[in-house]
Amino acid sequence: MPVILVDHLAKSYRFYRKEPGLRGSLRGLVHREMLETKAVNDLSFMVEQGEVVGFLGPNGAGKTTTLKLLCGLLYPSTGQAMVLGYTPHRREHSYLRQIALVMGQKNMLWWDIPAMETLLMHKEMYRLPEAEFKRTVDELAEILEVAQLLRVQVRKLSLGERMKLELLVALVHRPQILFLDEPTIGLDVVAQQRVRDFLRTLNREQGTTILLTSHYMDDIEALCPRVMVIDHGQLQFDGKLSMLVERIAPYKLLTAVFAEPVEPAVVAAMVAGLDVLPSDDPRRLGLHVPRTEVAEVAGRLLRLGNVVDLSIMEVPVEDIIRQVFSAPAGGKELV
Amino acid sequence: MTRLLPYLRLWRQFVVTAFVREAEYRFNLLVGVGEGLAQLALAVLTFLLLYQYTDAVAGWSRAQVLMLVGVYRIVDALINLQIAPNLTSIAGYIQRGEMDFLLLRPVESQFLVSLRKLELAEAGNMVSGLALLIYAGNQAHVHWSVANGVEAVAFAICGVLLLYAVWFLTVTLSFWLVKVGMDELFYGMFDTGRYPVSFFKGIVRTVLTFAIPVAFATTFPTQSLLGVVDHRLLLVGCALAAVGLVASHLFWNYAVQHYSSASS
Repeated sequence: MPVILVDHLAKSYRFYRKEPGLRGSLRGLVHREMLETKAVNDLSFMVEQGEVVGFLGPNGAGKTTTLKLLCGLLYPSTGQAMVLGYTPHRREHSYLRQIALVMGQKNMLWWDIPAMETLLMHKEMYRLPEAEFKRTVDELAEILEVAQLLRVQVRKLSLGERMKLELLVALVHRPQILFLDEPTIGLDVVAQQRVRDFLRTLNREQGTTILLTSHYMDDIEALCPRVMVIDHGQLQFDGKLSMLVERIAPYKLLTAVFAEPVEPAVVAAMVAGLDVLPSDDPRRLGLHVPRTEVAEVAGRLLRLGNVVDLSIMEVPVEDIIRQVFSAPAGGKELV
Repeated sequence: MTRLLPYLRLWRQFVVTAFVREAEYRFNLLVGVGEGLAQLALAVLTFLLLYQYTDAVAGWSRAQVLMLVGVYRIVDALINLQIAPNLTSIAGYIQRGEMDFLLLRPVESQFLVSLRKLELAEAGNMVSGLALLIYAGNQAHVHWSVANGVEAVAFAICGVLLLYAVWFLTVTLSFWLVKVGMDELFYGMFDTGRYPVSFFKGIVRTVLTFAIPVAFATTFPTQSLLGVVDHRLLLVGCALAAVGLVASHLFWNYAVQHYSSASS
């Protein structure tokens, strides 16, 4: 049974355009031009219980707005969302008890007191029984390795430690759905890895449904079997990450290193019709080869002789995403 | 009652948290108490100076006015202890997007944003205010009685609730204006509470009594202790407080629905 049902959901924001400078500001007092932007435009999708879904999209694509609509922070302009059988924007307490939102750029921990105090506050807000509260905190603190940090003033902690505590606080009421907005932003590689491991464990052991947005491809690759590409408020792709890769990049990256520089003319004849990647090293040759021709092209290269190294790789997902996002609006249909 | 209990427990946690915070800043606590005493001394001196030249102003003797200064001190401390730290933070929550988290808790959001922070150092000012009230009351030959005391407290509570409601209504405008900047104005208005309303004339007095109900918070409680208050005013106060609270709640709920959360 799907836990999230989104049906032609749309959200537009209205704002005023301001002319620059003093004269513009004065004019703005009398006459203001009202503009409307569609942050989310006609989204429809479903999420099953226990899924981990990654939202991909450039800044301003509508990812965060979508999360906020699903949490119930925003009223949809048209269309509707159903989460766990609730209409999110009514923010019924029984609904709020089952979800959690974590934002990498905003903290909910109180700055000048230890995290334990914030946890106790959550215990009262979510009405958690003493024993259950203790069990959850101990368990989460152990997985996150933050047991000793619970009694330290939050402002004395590192960013990575703080993020782990944010997660602990957000999860202390054992939500069924976790919404994450850029959970690893600003963290170093090790801390990012920790957070990812934790989220994977959480999903596997508790069956928590996770929706996350991230700029880090590594997050998405490590966590999300399913991705949704959102751009200009619209769903451009919904499916497996590997399918996205195949669709955007129906080729592989083939690199050959020769013992000595090869004649450009020979190479040109060899790779006619293929995409040659620029290289500083005359002995190195990089090619984009259609998936079906990889074996054949590799064979041809090997027959040239002198090949000391040959590798066949997937195009890095980062590059693919960059390609998706640099496409003009609506110019490239992915779905 | 079963619905209220969790809120009481939550409020108790707010108090505990405030203690923990206060303990992190012990020096601040000292400074706060010192500053409070200095302010009180200044207020007393002002009136002593004024009463050097006269025995009564608008029917208020020196001792009676000092009682009022005591009451003002107590009510002011109560507001600074529980209400001001929260209401001055709300615009910031909206600007910085922290409101997102507050709205996602399974708790009445108005309760949360109105009470979560406490400035416990203000309790010291309540004690000094009470001391002044008792001292000046004895000077004014007040016949202390439980009935008058209860009535005074009831007036003060009505007054504080009314002040809260008016202030909260203006703060709620932050959802549209983001930066309202009315806090200073509010403090200025409440400052008039250190004088008996009868010091003011005509329209100003009416405004202070009913629009910005400082009279309910300070003048009327003092008059109850002196046994000269019109008892019917308590009913008016209760009714106004109820209307104010309901209005603030309705407006808050309306505002929250139109909340467009700050972008990330």
